This record gives sequence, C-alpha cells and structure tokens, in this order.
Amino acid sequence: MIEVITERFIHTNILARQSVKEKTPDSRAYVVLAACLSIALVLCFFLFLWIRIDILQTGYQISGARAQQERLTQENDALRVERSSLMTSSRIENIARNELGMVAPKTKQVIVLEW
Amino acid sequence: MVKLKIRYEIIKNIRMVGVLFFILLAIIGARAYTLQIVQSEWLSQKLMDQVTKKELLSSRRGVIYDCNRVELAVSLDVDSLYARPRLMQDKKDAAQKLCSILGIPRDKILGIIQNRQSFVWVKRKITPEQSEKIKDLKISGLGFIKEAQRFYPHKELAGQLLGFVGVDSQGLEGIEREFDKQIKGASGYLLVNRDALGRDLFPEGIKKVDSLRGYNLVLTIDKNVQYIVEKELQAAVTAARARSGLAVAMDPRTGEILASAVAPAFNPNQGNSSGSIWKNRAITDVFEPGSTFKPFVVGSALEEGVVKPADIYDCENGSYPIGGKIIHDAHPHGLLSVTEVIKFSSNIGASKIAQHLGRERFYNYIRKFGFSQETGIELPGEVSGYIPHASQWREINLGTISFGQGVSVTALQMAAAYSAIANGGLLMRPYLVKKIQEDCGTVIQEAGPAIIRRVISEQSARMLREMLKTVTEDGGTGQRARVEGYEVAGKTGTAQKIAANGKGYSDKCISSFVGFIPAQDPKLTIVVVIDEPQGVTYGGVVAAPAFSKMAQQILCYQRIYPEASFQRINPDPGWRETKGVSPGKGTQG
Repeated sequence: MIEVITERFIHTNILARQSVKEKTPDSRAYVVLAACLSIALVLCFFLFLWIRIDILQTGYQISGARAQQERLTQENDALRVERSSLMTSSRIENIARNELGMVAPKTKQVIVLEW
Repeated sequence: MVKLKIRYEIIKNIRMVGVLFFILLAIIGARAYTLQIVQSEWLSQKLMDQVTKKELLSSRRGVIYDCNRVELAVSLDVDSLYARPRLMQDKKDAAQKLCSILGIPRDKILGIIQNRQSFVWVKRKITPEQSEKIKDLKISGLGFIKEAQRFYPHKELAGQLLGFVGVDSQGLEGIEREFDKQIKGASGYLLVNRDALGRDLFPEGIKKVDSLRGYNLVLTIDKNVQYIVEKELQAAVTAARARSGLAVAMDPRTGEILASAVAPAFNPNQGNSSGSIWKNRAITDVFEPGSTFKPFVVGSALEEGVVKPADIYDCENGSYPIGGKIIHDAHPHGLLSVTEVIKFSSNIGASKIAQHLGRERFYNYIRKFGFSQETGIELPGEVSGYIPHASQWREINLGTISFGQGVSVTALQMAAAYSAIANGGLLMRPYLVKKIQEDCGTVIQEAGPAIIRRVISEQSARMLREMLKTVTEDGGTGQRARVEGYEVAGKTGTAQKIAANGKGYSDKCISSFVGFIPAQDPKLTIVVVIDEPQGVTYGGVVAAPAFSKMAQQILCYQRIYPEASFQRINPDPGWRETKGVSPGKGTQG
C-alpha cells in the first residue's frame, strides 16, 4: 500500500517526480526492540554482577561473623572456667578465714526461728 | 599465463593454511574432548578441591556439673602447634626461639622440625599465652590447629571420681571414661568456598553438617560437701601419718553419693602423669572391714529372732577358743548384752552371736547387705570384694568373719550397707549421675532412688540403730565421732592388714569409722577409712574424729539443724505483713 504523505503533494504532482518507497512497517520497531533488548541485557548483566558482588560481600560478612562468634564463644568458655576456678571452696574458705577473719558457727550458735 | 600461475600459488597457499587450521582445529577439538569428556570428573573434583574448603567443626565434650550446676569439668578450644618442615627456612633459629616459650629442650624441637615428613606436631594443646608469643614470631612453616582441652577448674576436687581424658579428648578414667559415649558428641563440618586470597566465601550458600555437642552430666556430688570430706580426710591422714585414706558420704534415704574422696588427692588437669593416685579406691580397692562388720551379724541375728538387744553373752574375759584357735578381745569383758557387744566391740561376743545364727543364714544376710557383689555404681573398675561361700567356712571362719576378718569389702559397699540400717532396712542402689541432659536443658536420662531389696525389717533396723548409738555414748569405742547437738550411730573398726607374704597378719592396720547422723532420722552416712596410721591405730581415735568434723560441717551446710536449735517466737504481726512473710515454719533441712 502506498502511503500518501499529504494531499498537497498529490495535487502538485510532486509524487510523480519522486521515488516513492513502500514503507516496511516494523523496521524501526525492530531497531528499537533490539536496542531495548540490548539495554535490558546489559542491565541484566549489571544486575547479575551487582547481585554476585553483594553475595560475595555478604559471604565475607558471614565469614567474619562466624569467626567473631567462634572467638566470643571461646572467650565466654574461658570466662566460665575462670569463674569456676574462682568459686573453688578452698579459695573461698581461705579468703573467709584468713582475709575476712570469719569462723564457722558452732551448733549452739545457730538458732532457727519458728513462728 | 603468469596470472594463472600466481592464482594457482595463492590457491595452493590458501589450501595449505586451510589444512593447517584444520589440523589445529582438530588438535583443539581433541583437547576439548579430553578436557570436557575424558577428564571432566577429575577436573571438576580438582576445581572443587581448590575452591572449596572443608572446615571441621569439632565436637565439644559435655560439661560435668555438681548437683548445684557448678562446673566440675569443661572443655575449651586451645591451639596445637604444628610444623611443615619443608617450608621452614632457618630451623635452628626457630628451635632456639620456640624452646624458651614451650619449655621443651632446643634439641628436641630441632629433632621434630628436622623431620622429613610434610607435617609434624611440635606441641599439642599449648596455652593461649604460648600461642600468642609464637604467633608474634611469624616463623614460616609453623601453624596452629584448634583442639579441645579438658579443664577441671576445681583442680583436685573429686579428681579420682571425675577421672581424666587423653590427648584426643577420649575418656580414660572415672566418669569421663564411663560416660565417654554420652559426653564426647560427634564432630561435623562446614563446606565453604575460598577466594584467591584464601578467605571464606559463601556464594553458593552454606553446606553444614552440625557437630553434635556431647551431653552434659549432672552429678549427685555436691562440691562443698566433697570439699569438706576431702579436707577432713586429708587432715586425718596427715595427723595419723597414714599412708592413705578413703571417705564416702551418702544420703541413706536415696542412695545418692554426696562425696567420694581419696587421699592423697589427684589433679585430673595433670592427666595420668601422677603414678596410680588417679584410682578411685573407694570402689577399686578392698580392705578387711574389721569391727565395722559386727553390726551385720547382729542385724541378721535380730532379724532371724536369734537374739534380742538385752540378751547376755559371756565374753570369756577376752579369750575364747574356737575351732582350734583362740579369739581375743582388745579389752577383756565378762558378761555383755548384745547392745554392749556392739558398744564395746567385743570379738568374742560377735563370734558367739554368729555361732547362734549359723553359717548359711549369716552368709545369706551378708549377701543381702550387698557384699561380694558390685553395687552397680556408674564408674569403671568396681570390684565386688570377697566373701568365701558358707560351705568353705570352718568353725574359726564363722568367728573371724563376724568381726570382719577373712572378708574384703569396698568403702562404697560399706556405705550402702550402713545406709540400709539407717533407712529402715532397704538396700538402696548407690548412684552418682542424676541427669544426662542436652546443652539446652532437655533431659535425656534421669536417675532416681532405686531400692535393690529389703534386707532386714524396719523393727530390726530400728533396734540396730539404737545399738549403734551406744557406740558414741560414754564408754563406747566411738565417742570421738560425736557431733554436738546430734545423736550419732556408728561403729569403729581397727583391722590388721594381711602380711605382704600373704601368711598371717602384719602389724599394720586399717582404721575406720562408719556411721550415720542424725541417728533418729538419718540423712547422712559417712565411711572413713585410714590406711596404715602410725602411733595409736584405733578407729575410734584415728577415723572417728574425721567423721565428726565432716558430719558437723555437712549438716550445717545442708541446714540440717538439731532440735535444740529451733526456737519458737511470737513476732509482731505487723512485721510479718511489712516483710511479706507468710506464717510457717522456718528453714529446716
């Protein structure tokens, strides 16, 4: 189908002196589509790259957190051992008797109140 | 013509180049086939090996708690130092630097790192301070691996009971060995990817097989009771200049072991480097009980109705012929009641009661009291002791066994048997582990009081308790076992030890006191055994005072007060309201 551009050109017989092409309907659309696809592809590539980098960063963070958790667990365990060793009965008795001057009550010194 | 020739040459060259390219393409194709098809699996594996790293998640050994959840044994991760000798440059210099930090001779370290192997341990389980110092040296070829180290924060406390672990954290003795399967857990792993710098990455997610932490154990042991028993036992051993000592404290109502001590003490942090003192001799060693065995013949005779507490026996002024031999009393006695036989510890009186009872019945009661058989305590190496069968007894054996000679028992068997007298005649199974539980607190297994059998009736047990009370009264052999404010029931024992050549008895003794307190409503049974005391060797002098001191402190700690301590008051009601206290009885154990 020949597309008439303007009525004016027909009347002035301009078309007779010009080469009139049959316009392919999708050629531009294809170009636009191809361009869009290319851009989308590039965007996808960058998105993928961004996600991979983000995963890597998260991986490093997890790794760091794990190491920190391990370190803190060990520190906690060490503190528990230290606390236990400070709770030894011999140490407490030694401090009570020698440093604080305490003595164990005799049986007669203990009075249990009932009411 | 020339044009044609040139054209021919060009075509020829093109063909040659084509052939060349074809050959190259064929080579590339063949190589691609080899890589993609033939070596695919191997290469994939190699890639995985290079990119992924399998991190071992070591299992953590469970914690051992006392009955109040105080840690008695815990595990910590510490560094173990290894070397890759091929990567080390100046080995002599490295050995020089390491020897002062590790406390190992330089030549020994040099010998280790000059090894031709690719991997050698320099020292396993070093201290954090040593680890830091070595890391600061930055010696190439040295590395660290985390390994679990067992710590016993209370050092010698309950050392023989807890046992110890080996270098690979496997239980070797005591509870650590008996409950190794439950405590040790299982190791897991974590698969991670590595980047070019060897850092851990998780781009493909985490593949993790969790390590299983070992179960925790909650013991019946109370660390403060254990401390009191150990302290007083060691004091008694030192005072008597004795070779060693044993003590067991038990709740007669339930069979719970509250403390088990051996002197000299053993520090499990040092492993088995301390000779054989790591043995829990309360269950692995037997001894002749001596006079502490007399209550069993009297109890059996009471149960069988053969004797009554007031029955009179002629104790022959300290010398009595039986089966062609002569039995002596430490102090000569004339006529004694059955109660006085116990009170004054007459061998002759006990022998005559045994004769009235008869071999078979006596033997059966000894067995019923739990002798000559394992108690079933959750510890390795328990022995059953030895009681010859009644059919093997001669006349003299019946007499000697009645006062504890010619038989062998463990301290734990004595504790269980006396507890049966204390609780009204029931033999309870002694136990040490109250709970096995996960770290989160979920209980996997729980133990409670278990009655093995009724040995004697409540009435017989009550009569026997009354008799044993007289031992600590005026004139009794165990007066020094008295505890102010309480009635104590118990029995002294002084047994000669068998001579080293196995013929007859030596002049060395085992002194003991076994008793329970408060006598009317027993809540604590204690066995004290002192091996080879010097000087005065009577159980009433050597072991009874230790019993008294232990009992006094333990009862005070457990808030078991004598009746005289309770005082009724009539407080101002307003005070009660302001303090938010509801009416009721005060604390009573």
